[in-house]
Amino acid sequence: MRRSFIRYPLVFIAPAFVIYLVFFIVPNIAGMYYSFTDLSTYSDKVTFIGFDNFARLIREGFLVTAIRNTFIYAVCVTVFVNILGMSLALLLNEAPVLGNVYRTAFFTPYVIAPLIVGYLFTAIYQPEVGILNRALRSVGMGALAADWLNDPQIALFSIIMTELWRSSGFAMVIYLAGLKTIPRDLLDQASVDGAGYMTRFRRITFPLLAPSFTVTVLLMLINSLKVFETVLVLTNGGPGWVTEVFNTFIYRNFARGNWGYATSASLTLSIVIAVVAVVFLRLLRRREVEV
Amino acid sequence: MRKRFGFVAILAIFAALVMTLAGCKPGPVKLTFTTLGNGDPEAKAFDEIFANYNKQSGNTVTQQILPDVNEYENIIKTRFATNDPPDIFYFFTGANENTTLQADKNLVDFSKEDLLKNLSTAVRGFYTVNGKIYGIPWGTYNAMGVLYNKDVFAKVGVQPPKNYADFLAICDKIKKAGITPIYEAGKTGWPVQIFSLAGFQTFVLPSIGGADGVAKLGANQLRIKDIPAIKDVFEREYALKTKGYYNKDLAAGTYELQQDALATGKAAMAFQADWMLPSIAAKYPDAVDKIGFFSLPSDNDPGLPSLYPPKQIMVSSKGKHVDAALALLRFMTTADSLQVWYAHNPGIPVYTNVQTKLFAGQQDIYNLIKAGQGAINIQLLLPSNYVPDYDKVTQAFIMSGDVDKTIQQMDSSYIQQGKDKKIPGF
Amino acid sequence: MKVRRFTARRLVIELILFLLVLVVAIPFYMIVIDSFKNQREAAQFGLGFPTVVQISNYVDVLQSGGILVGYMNSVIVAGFSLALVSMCAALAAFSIQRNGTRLTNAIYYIFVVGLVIPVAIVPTIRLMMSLHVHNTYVGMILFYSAVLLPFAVFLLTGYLKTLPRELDESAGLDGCRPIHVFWAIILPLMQPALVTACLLTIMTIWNDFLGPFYLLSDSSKWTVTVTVFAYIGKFNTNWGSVFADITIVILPILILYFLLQRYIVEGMTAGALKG
Repeated sequence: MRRSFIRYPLVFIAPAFVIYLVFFIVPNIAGMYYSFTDLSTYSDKVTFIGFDNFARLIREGFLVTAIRNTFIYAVCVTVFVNILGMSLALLLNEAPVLGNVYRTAFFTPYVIAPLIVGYLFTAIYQPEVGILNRALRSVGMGALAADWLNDPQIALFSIIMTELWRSSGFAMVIYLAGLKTIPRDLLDQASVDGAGYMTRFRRITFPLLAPSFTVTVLLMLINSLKVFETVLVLTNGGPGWVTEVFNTFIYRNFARGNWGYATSASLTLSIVIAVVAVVFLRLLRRREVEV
Repeated sequence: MRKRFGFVAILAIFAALVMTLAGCKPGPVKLTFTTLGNGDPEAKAFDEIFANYNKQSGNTVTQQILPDVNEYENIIKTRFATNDPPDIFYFFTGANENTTLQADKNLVDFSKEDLLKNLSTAVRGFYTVNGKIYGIPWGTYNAMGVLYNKDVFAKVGVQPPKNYADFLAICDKIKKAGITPIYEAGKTGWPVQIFSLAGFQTFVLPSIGGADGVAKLGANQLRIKDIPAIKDVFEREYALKTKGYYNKDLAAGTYELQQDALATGKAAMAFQADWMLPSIAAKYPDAVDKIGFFSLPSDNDPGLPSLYPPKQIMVSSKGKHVDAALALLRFMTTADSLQVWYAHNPGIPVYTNVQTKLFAGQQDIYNLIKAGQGAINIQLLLPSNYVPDYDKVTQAFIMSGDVDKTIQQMDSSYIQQGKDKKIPGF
Repeated sequence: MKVRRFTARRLVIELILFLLVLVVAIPFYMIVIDSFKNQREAAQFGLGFPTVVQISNYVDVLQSGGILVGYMNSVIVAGFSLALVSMCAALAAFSIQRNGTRLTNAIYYIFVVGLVIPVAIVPTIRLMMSLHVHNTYVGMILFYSAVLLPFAVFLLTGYLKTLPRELDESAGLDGCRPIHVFWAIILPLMQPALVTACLLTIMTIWNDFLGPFYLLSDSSKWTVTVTVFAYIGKFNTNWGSVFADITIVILPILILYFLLQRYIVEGMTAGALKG
């Protein structure tokens, strides 16, 4: 039933939509055009060059490196942030004495600028005196101490660890909110029926956390595909190019003055993100319905 | 209702606060000198010179310091590309920088100004590109080659080498004495470039016919992959690693650790330039004059130092204060001002009318320059950049040792950026 | 027996949580404690107290100037952006949610696209140049508004679903014009969600690096996070003053978080879960 006493003028949408349209949508569409030009800081002339930029992305091989690293990073971060976030939420759900203090503390890294987290971990990963290696040595695990950012084998892994430190608390609060929606009696009933902790988790808690799971997976995937500051600060894509990701590659070409080329890489990233977002949203939503 | 007013009131107060803050922007016009963060002595020297100038002229010149090297070049380039150029700024040197900044369009040509009378012809010649001078040389000469610890050499009983075989024999002797022959800063990255850059003068230049070859390379009539001597230099470099002449922590070696190793005699040599000496002097005042310099030797002779003429000061022709900038430059190039600069930043001067104090290593270089030795670093001679990301390329090379892949990478990225910069011939 | 097992389990949980909190807390502690040390001592990244407590690092940081300018720039940009974002988003969300037609749903999804797709940097620079707002506060404010509007619209639309339509209608019967319904009834009721949107706007702008790094080549307009980058680019060997700089920059955001974490955390989770 709908009474028509009140109108909700569409013009209310106008201010927000105009700003958004002009400063977000228009540049993104213009980006599609610039991707096919040789726009650069070396000349005022802009020439349409067809698919040259994209052919070059493939030919130079950096795109492959960037895609591989970005995906390794995004998948690892998404998987482990979810595992850690969910574990933290389950622990906090046991109502520990200092529950609120813990929750506040775990979320704190997420409110700090990623750039600053990057600098912080530059110090932490310092091979000789950084606190990570010193902590490892002091508990007798000195063999594990490494040159975290300069060893090509583990540099990307170290960047991933940094992001786990930063984002696990974010996943935790989303899972905590999800846990609050699970009726206590359902779990109690299962307990009475003789279900152990793991059974209850598998049969009740985890399925009912599906919405939180969807959201966290999706947000973490999208955000980690856009990773920039931590990589820029920690390794700047090095050593060599072993930690090059999309956004450091884009920045390198922007800085070199190849704006058209940088834009084509940026457009590629947008397409990748859009595809990943749509595919995962479908997959995860289907799972939610099935459960 | 009351709730709403509270909220609106807070918004209003906030907006008002923000307005007042926004209102207190600097009012009067002043000249901003833009420079890159390159340590305290430079900033202090500029400050002192500008203070003198402000007192004398009544103008206000302030210093704007931006982040170092890569970011700095990007910021300046972007400011030109977005029609917001700095009035007057300190910038890198070399023919390729004129391409980067589209000098013909963007910069003031000084070739007809009287600012450059105290330059030697050789220096003036280097800063002249196609008959125009877009920058005032500012600072000190640097030279790349080998820095060595004289105490270690004396202890092991060796002299600076006369040729490359000699150099290898020295390395071997030092290694047998239980000292690291060469400290390389693999982590920092850029120091790794120095061997092949210095090697360019020594091995490559003679093989391509000197300046002729350089001109051909610059016009893309000669390709990097067609110069066997470049490959040879990389093979020599990697051989030093396989023979165990480098420090064991090559991958973790930093510029700071390189200074420590050289100054304390833990390592005998480093492929470096004399710009390291002031840093050593700050940490090891007693050790700095034990550090000497020699060029990377060729197979037949002691080789030439690879010279880096100083950075330059440029003026945007589209800036709002071109005349004020020129007046400032006139003041800066007086003997008194130059003296202030070199007092804070001792080194090999380009101006003939100044006195400056030199470290032992710098004196070695100055002697070579005065004897007419030395060739300008290849990176500064081409209209394009001699291989973008050269630090990364060489850093990756020293780890992998893959010569063919490195040459291939250099060749294709050199050609690609020539195309990007729309240089004729590419 | 059961009770004993229960307490042992509790103890283990408390212990694990305590150790994990240390993992989060120690790095922050290190920043603060090392910011009072001299250059040589700070470079050791020790967790002990400084042999001599010195505040000279803070003096150096403040004297180098950039940070105060950065503070001012961040406040200006964040202040105007949050006013613009919250007002525009509230109005838009009101119309989008209440109309609920095909058209407004389409507009809503166009906004949602902005939550996913990254910013197109180069075209934004070109656009700002042609509008003559490049390197200006106005340009940055409009940029941030465009970037942050999608989330604000998303959050507020979700919140409006919880406010029954009958509320507007009671006012509508009195013959109020739509803008009055919005102003007198809806806006006050949206206050909790608005506070969240404002807080997230402030935090995003304070912490953002990519935007001003690309879009502002004029260093006198750099926001505070970019000044950290510039400061460390210049003085990267002195960790004592680097940590002092970082402390000054993260302090306001931490205070805001500790005081208003209810709005921040619940806003983020509510917004996220309703998607």
